[in-house]
Amino acid sequence: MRSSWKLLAFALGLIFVLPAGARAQDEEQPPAGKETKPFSPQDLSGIWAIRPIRGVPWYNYALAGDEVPMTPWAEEKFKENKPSFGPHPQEDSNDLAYACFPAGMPRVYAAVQAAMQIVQVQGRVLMFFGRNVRQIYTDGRPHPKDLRPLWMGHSIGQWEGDTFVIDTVAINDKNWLDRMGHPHSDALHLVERFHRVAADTLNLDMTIDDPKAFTKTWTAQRTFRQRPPASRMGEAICEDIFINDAFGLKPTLPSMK
Amino acid sequence: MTPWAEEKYKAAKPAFGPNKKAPKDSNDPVYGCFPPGVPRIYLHPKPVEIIQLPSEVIMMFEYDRLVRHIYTDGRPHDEFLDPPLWMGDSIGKWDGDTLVVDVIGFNDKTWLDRVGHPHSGELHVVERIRRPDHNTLVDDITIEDPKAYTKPWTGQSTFQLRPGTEISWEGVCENEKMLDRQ
Repeated sequence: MRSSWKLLAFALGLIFVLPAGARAQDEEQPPAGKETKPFSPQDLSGIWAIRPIRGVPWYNYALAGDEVPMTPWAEEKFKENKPSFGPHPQEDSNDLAYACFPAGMPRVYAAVQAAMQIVQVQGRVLMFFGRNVRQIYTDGRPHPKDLRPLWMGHSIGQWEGDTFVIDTVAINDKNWLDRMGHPHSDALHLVERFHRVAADTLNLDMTIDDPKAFTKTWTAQRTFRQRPPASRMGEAICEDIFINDAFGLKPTLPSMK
Repeated sequence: MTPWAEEKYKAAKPAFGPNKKAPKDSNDPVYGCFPPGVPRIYLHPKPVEIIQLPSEVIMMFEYDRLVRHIYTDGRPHDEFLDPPLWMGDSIGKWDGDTLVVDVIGFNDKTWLDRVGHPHSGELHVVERIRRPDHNTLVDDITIEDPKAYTKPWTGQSTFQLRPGTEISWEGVCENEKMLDRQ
């Protein structure tokens, strides 16, 4: 296994997209004038990056800091999973992300360099996490019955006042809940509540409801900062880093300038 | 083609065209689930959804879930094109009723088409996209790559509107076989 590439990817955070305009020196600055800039709470569009919190390393691999209440089924799976992130990273990881499958939900939030672009159009909200795209139907439709599991699940959304509530089911169980190997089942029912509290600040409260994997419902939070309008989503091609040897293509890494 | 490009073309083992091989004997990068690049993405017969926003045009391809962002807010090309991109860096502006898209910043790892014509990192693609009637898009594509081609040349892609079609996000190139390589 190409463990050296995994460590490099960990360092570069290349599984998730870092907008090209974002450089390390402006991650920590509090944006100026945020109290006075007008905004519409029902406008979630833009590129948003997770605001990491100093001294909270688990932001980069888990959704919650405390140990989550797993069922015996989930404990078994958790033991089998070999993550490359978290308190016990393993060299020979069996994390599907290294086979370049989609990350699934809510795993996309378990990385401090996660950035997402939200686009609102008629009847849908689109969220781009690099090439992991999810479509949230806002036209009032319910979840279809007999839905086969999908990589990013089936999402419907509606506004409750100034909070955008997304209800997602039918997430396939091939991927983990987070990057440290907590599992979830395809019975996972994920509810996300997005609330734009300032021009540049978007808060997320999510509820994890998966009776097969967890003994009770639990919640997790994230805060996002809006990237400047000139940011780009960038390109992060997983195959380029991890599945590059089969075709004689050398890995593509940024030069160390 | 230039001599450089002729050499590369001889080494290509495509799964399409007059010299085609079986996919398992092909060295076409798309069989490694690498992105096909631009304009080759248009040759893969799956639908694309186009969304127009004030600052960009987004093309969402069902083929391998690829997304192109064509920035139309007047920004220049990205100066941080390191490493170079599989799908290039696209900026666009309107010339009357035609969207003119300028794409640079490519790596040289993709084929221009499915028969194996190569390109270099100097590839510069210009697309002129117009909608002559409600159901049709025409994209006139100019390929300019002095390292690979002795002069610029053009091609055309035509698209038909499919009302009611939804892009599927389940089209993942990777399958269980990829896991065997781990």
